[in-house]
Amino acid sequence: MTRQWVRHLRGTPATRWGIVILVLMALLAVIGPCVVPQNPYQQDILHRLASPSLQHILGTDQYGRDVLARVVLGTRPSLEIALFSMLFSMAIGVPIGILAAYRGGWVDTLVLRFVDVMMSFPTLVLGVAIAAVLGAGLDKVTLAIGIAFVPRFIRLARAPVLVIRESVYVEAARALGMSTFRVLWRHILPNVVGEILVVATLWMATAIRVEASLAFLGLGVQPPYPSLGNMIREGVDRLTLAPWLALAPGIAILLLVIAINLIGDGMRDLFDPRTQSRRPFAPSVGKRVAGLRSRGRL
Amino acid sequence: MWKHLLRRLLLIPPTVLCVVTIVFFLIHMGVGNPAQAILGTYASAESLEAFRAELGLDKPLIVQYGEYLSHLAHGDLGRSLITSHPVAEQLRSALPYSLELTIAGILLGLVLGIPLGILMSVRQNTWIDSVGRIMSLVGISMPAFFLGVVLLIIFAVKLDWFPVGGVASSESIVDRIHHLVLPAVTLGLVMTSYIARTTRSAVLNVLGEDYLRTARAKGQIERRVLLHHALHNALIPVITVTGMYATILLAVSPLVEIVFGRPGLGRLILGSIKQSDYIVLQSVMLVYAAMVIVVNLLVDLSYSLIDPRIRFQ
Repeated sequence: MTRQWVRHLRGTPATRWGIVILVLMALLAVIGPCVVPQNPYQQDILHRLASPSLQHILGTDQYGRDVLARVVLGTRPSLEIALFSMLFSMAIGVPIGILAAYRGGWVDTLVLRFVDVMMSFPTLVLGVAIAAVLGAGLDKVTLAIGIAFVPRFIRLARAPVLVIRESVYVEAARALGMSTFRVLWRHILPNVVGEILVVATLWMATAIRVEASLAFLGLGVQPPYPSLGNMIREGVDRLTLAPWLALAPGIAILLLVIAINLIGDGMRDLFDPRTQSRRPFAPSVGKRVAGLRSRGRL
Repeated sequence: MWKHLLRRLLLIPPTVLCVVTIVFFLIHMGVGNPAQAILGTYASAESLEAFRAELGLDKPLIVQYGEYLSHLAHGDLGRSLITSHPVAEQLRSALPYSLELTIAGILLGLVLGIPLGILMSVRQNTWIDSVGRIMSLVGISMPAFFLGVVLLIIFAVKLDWFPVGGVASSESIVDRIHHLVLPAVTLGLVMTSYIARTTRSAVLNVLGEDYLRTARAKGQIERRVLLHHALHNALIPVITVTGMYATILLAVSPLVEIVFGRPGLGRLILGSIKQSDYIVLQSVMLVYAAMVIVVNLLVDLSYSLIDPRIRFQ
């Protein structure tokens, strides 16, 4: 089935572009600093705010540092934060969501009320507050974004389980005397993991934008270490003198987010009940969840 | 309808209480030692103690929480740790700028996004649809503050059509609009992308419905079929998305304000972060939560207005 998914994803031209861009940028982030000849920290006061040229393809910043080298290095924290914050929120939110929906009763009500209240804060505002409390830095921002997304993952995991728990095969598993953990692990998790991965991919794009926003507010990766967000922040102060300072990292964020959105859209097609004919398997749960959602029941 | 409204209104006070509780404990348990953060590492133990006593931070957390609730009930949000000005006053002067910008962005998004979405759906798989989809993808992928930077470079720095930043210094409405255009277009274009995508898929979903065929069979003109029958039925998801992204727009507007140097909530947030002014930060969070609650209520009520099935449920 995994092979079918990969074939399906590769078959969509837009998704193929997304994969190419993301792989290239991830490669650049990992091995780029070894390939780009300039040192991203090397200051050259004589060539401050130099326009793009053959020597400095994207120009230099206010300290004469090469902007291309810094953009390449700055892509790495964006990708790291997006990936690890999503893994963190999934690891916390998905088990809580699944367990709450499976157990039902007051546990579910309590969890749902908590999620509703937490979702009164836009993710960015919650991320800003948590990051302001935790302080700046790569690990703290990852944690802040991860915590801010937990309520969304709880809700995301909870919805399909409300349908699945009523299925005959779950009832049969319980009748056979399986423990709650085993029912959840063997029969429920495999049925929700696909939809969760799709949304997590799309939310990775949001996480990159949130990280850039936090860095823009001075809460992300701290200078002199570059991140795309803090580079834009520094560039905004020198827009009239050197517009490339803000444009170069901004375009890098844009490409990264577009690539992830394209991949996420391609993956969503796999799980969307309305595009069932093009999909390698039948999403009976997805269809029922979509039906319940449209009637405002979830 | 009225019962539904009453039920929704009754849910607000407990939600607000939970929000206040979460904000209070998140900020108070996380900030560690605000006295140290504000007075600096070289402050003497006596001055730190005096500062803590002045803020009431030497009392048990639960007592502080009780006092906070009591002050809040009287409309007192506290005083800024840095400027000593009442936070409510600061919010009162900042909020109109942020609301003006966000509302302008939402309206622009609706005015541009719905027609664009309809056009994309009726011209599905043509170049208009392709261009619209690419523009929407770029719009939703671009951080709003970066879009602001791009517009600023093109229309303020290079073409000099609009001011680089700030707000109108005079009372003139023309001057005020002139300063609002670029930041509002920034948010408006982001909103347009979301609304156009949603409208396109919502209209496409209803285009094959029997009632549209019936309307055409009755001899109604295509414009009426689209605007009256198709759009009316496609509006529910559009409203849901408008509500959802209105809250996102509220969240990103401070960043756009910072780019354009507008004196709204963005400046308050930036100042509170830089100066560890947690009293201001917690109040700004409450304001955001209140705005999201209001937006959600409005969205919920608009469902009832648009769809009679929901109204009579």
